[in-house]
Amino acid sequence: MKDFLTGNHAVAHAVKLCRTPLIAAYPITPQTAIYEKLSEWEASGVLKGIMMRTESEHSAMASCIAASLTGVRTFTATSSQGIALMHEMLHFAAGCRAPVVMANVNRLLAAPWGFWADQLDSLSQRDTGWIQFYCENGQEALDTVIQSYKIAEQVYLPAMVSLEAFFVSHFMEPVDIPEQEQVDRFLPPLDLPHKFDIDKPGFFVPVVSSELYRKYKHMAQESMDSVKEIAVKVDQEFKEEFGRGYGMIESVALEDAEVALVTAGSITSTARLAIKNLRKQGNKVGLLKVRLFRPFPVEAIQVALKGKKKIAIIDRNLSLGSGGIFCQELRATLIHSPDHPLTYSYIAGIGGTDVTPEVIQKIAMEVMSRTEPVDKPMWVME
Amino acid sequence: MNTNHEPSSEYVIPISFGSTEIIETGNWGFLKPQTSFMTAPCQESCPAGNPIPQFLYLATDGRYHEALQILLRENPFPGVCGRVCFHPCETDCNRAQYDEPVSIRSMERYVSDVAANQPLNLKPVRNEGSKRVAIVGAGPAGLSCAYFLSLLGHPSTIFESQKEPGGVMRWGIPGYRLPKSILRKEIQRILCLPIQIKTNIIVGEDISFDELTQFDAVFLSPGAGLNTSLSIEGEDLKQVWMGQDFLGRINSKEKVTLGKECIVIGGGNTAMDVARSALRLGSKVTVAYRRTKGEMPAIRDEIIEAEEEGVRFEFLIQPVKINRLQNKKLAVTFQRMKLSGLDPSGRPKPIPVKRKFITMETDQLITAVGEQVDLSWIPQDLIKNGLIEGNPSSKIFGGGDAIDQPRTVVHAISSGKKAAISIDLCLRGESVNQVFSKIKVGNKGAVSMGAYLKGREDGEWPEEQRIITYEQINTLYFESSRRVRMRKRSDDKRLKGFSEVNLSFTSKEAHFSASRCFSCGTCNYCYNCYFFCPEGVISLDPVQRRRIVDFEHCKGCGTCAKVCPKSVVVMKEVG
Amino acid sequence: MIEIKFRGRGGQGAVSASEILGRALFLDGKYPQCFSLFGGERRGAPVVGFLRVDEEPILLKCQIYHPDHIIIFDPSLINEDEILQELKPGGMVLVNINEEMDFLQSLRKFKIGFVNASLIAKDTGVGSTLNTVMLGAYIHLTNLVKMDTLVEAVKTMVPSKMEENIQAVKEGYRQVKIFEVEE
Repeated sequence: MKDFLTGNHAVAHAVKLCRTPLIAAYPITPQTAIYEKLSEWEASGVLKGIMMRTESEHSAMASCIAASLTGVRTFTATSSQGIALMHEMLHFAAGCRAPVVMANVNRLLAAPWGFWADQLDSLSQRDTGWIQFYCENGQEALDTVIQSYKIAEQVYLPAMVSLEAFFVSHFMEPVDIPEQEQVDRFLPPLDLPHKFDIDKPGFFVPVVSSELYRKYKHMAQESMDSVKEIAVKVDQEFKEEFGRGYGMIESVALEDAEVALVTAGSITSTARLAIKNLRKQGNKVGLLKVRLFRPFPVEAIQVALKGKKKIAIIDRNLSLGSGGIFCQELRATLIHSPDHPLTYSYIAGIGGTDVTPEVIQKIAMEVMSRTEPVDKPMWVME
Repeated sequence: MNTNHEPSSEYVIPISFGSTEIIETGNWGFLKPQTSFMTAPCQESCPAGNPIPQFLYLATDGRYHEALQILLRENPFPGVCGRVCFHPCETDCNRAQYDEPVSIRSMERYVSDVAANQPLNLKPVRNEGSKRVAIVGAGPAGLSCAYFLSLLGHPSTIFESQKEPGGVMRWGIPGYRLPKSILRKEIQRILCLPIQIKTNIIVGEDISFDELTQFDAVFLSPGAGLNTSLSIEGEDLKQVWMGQDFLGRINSKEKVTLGKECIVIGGGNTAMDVARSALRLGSKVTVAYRRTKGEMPAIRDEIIEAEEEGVRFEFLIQPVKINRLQNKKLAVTFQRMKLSGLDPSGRPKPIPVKRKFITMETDQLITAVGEQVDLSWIPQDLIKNGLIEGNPSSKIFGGGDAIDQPRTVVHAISSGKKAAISIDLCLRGESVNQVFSKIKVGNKGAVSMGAYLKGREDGEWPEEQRIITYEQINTLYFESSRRVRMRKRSDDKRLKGFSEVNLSFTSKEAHFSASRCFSCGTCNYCYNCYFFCPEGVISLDPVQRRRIVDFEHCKGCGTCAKVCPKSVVVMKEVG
Repeated sequence: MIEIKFRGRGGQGAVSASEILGRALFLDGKYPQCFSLFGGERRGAPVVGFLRVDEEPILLKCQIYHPDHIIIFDPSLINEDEILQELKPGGMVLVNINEEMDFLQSLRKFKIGFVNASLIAKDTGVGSTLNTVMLGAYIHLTNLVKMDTLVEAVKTMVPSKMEENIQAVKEGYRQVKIFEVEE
């Protein structure tokens, strides 16, 4: 059924469709609409699960982990300072192999204070062991939450679905809401082997030896690696059921492109239009969308960008002292490429600043004319 | 217990199926929680030292029989006090600073009424060297003394001048405040103990004072039965009555006929009882008092109820002359008064306003300006300032309204209790003062019979407890609420006879009223510590009234102390 | 693609107007996209809502700088210089104005609609919320959606005073005064 919805409400629909029995969350702008919608449904009985209104995001995540380890599906939503406060528990979720699914509305981290789109909040959690997706619109956010459960529950790792503040969370657009029967068909019930069992009492997170720690980390790394394969499979299954698919990455007009733009999140959507404009003007510019960030789809990207001479990565985020985080990952991915492409890092859209097709076209045209490598990130200031 | 700590390798995460109990995490901390009870201000203020938080805790739990038993340990008259006490406990209730005080008096009444038919569960101590004690007067002091002496193993004989025991409770307080049936039950409960009572015996006439001294000890509680005279012209007129005589006649079920209009002189409880009784006999009643309403010594509730019922008040007037008029009415001349300075008792002093007089006509005048002790039969060495003063060295003790203390039922009970303990100590040749400092309840004069019995029998004297202040209550854990007003007999029915005015709480109201108690300084098993303990090392047993901490695993984090609403849990350094 | 800017004060319903119109366009099978500048929502403060609509899905995830239509809910927010700077050539302005005015002369190169929305809202009993009146006037001015579709959208989006709001839409439609571009 099609409806006219914000990205936040699209996410809430996904959570309801996945029949999530436990939601633990704490409201924070611009995520609050997800929390409110689910609360409203809980009150009206539409949502069959329980909403835990915790006193902090740290507690919300702790509750999700504990509930998840009893073998039930769990969900939380947060943003910005909220995910920062959750940090310790994010490590626990991954370490406990709890397949929690979280929606994170990308909002800048204070200070200075603000509510605007910026991916630094989730990207600074990149080493916590969570699967991470970046979505370009509400439809994709809805679909990715559903996919995330299916992936997370196969590899026993938590998954985070990121959507940008305002441009996705608050943009109201037509969204196709899947039928409940379809989702039920697509998503099997959770069957967690390592769950609390009252008939066999035990406790999780005991002290382990160095060797055991290494063993479990290694196991987790293998599981995380397997996500690349499973995510593609799940996406295919999704496409078969719902008629939409996304892939871990997506190539747009890359075949003959002289310049490849790399984007993640809502900028991708605008960039699609920019590419059309550039192509109309006769400029051979293509686009690579990175949807899955953890695990980073190294092999797939290497294949997609094979033979490209110049690559421009647009980051709506900044690791102070380094640069755009997607750029870092991409440069590391391409380190062994035989043709040593030139990679240019552009910082655009930080703090919710607008990235219009014109901005993207300007970046592409600038890269077309470049011949020398640039190590430093380049800031787009209008 | 499985002590294997190697995590299972079947899973993607380490799970231990052993127990962590063998790790004595209790060694890690340097603080340990301890329960340290404090005395609630209500209990300190109660002259009888009633264990108020404890009895209300049991009442909240619906354990009314147990609640009554612990009340009876300190006070043989909960049914009486639950009705007529001036409830200093409610004045000092910590909750009064939060919203409204707990309805302690009404709860005492409720518990006592609900559990009234239960037998007394207190076992008198075995006392090989028991002695015989003579008691003069079967009022609240004398009966209490006999009661507590029985609990201490001493039989007693009470000499009562009236035909029935009860004293002021029987002959003074009218039935609409204290139904006779309630009093009778409480007295019967006392007289089941080894107490001999001889009624219609007047000491000095039927038995000499010397004969009393044949007993091992003597307790004198004859009460204050003599009316104070106004000492004015016309006081001997036929239509001028004495308050005590008037109440005594009503309480003897004598048929009393009053004039149409009646003036009552006085501002104390007797005056209120007289006024409201006169009202019930069909008179139009005016109370004349020489100070103002604020200085009236009567219990506030009594004044309010008198006003509700239609008693008129005239303040700052004092009678100086009574004349009989031709039409048989009385003309009472009053001196106008004003307040100036303080009298020796610290109350504003009424002084006459020169040449200002008023005259009121009435059919009847009843005086209630205080009572005095009949000392005609008492040896001079036991008298001081018109009151009795005991002499422990000759084993003679005094109590009730006849000694120097406020004239209330609960003070009388308290004096009976103290005398019983003093007599027990005296007869056993022990020092009184040393023991009294160990069994005091707070610092306002109350003592605990429970503590005395425990110390006397087991040698375990309680540690001195501090009084818990309002600031020490963690009020975040209490929801604000109003106290329940006890229902009253409707106005039209109320004045038709002497039926009790205040109707009881319903069981729901009682439960709510009891649950409003903060349990200041006492554990009432609110389970806060249990729920908040991050280690799960606290266990509570409300039935046995035990709170147990597993110190082998308590890390001493202090959460339980922080969340205790009544500061009962305190962290103490160890090692 | 048509881009519309809604300008009003908190409480007047400018943002909800963009959403109601978005819903109506959605019901018509179009691809609308609604958003508002968020962060400072409170009663009385100036607020801005946006609406894009196209025959195919909209890829733009950025703000609107040069709208085709500007709808101004509060007379105090009419700024001719701003409109001249922002409005696309051939654009259209709809304003809530409480008097017959001979002004906005500088804007006469645009099609302009005048409607006394505050009065209509009061008369029809919807109170101080002007969204339905303004939308009624707007569809008369632009024919972007049919009356029936708008009424249906109002029915699903407006929480109370249904009859009054539908009446307001109709009165807005009826009472708007339209000034065509002077040749």
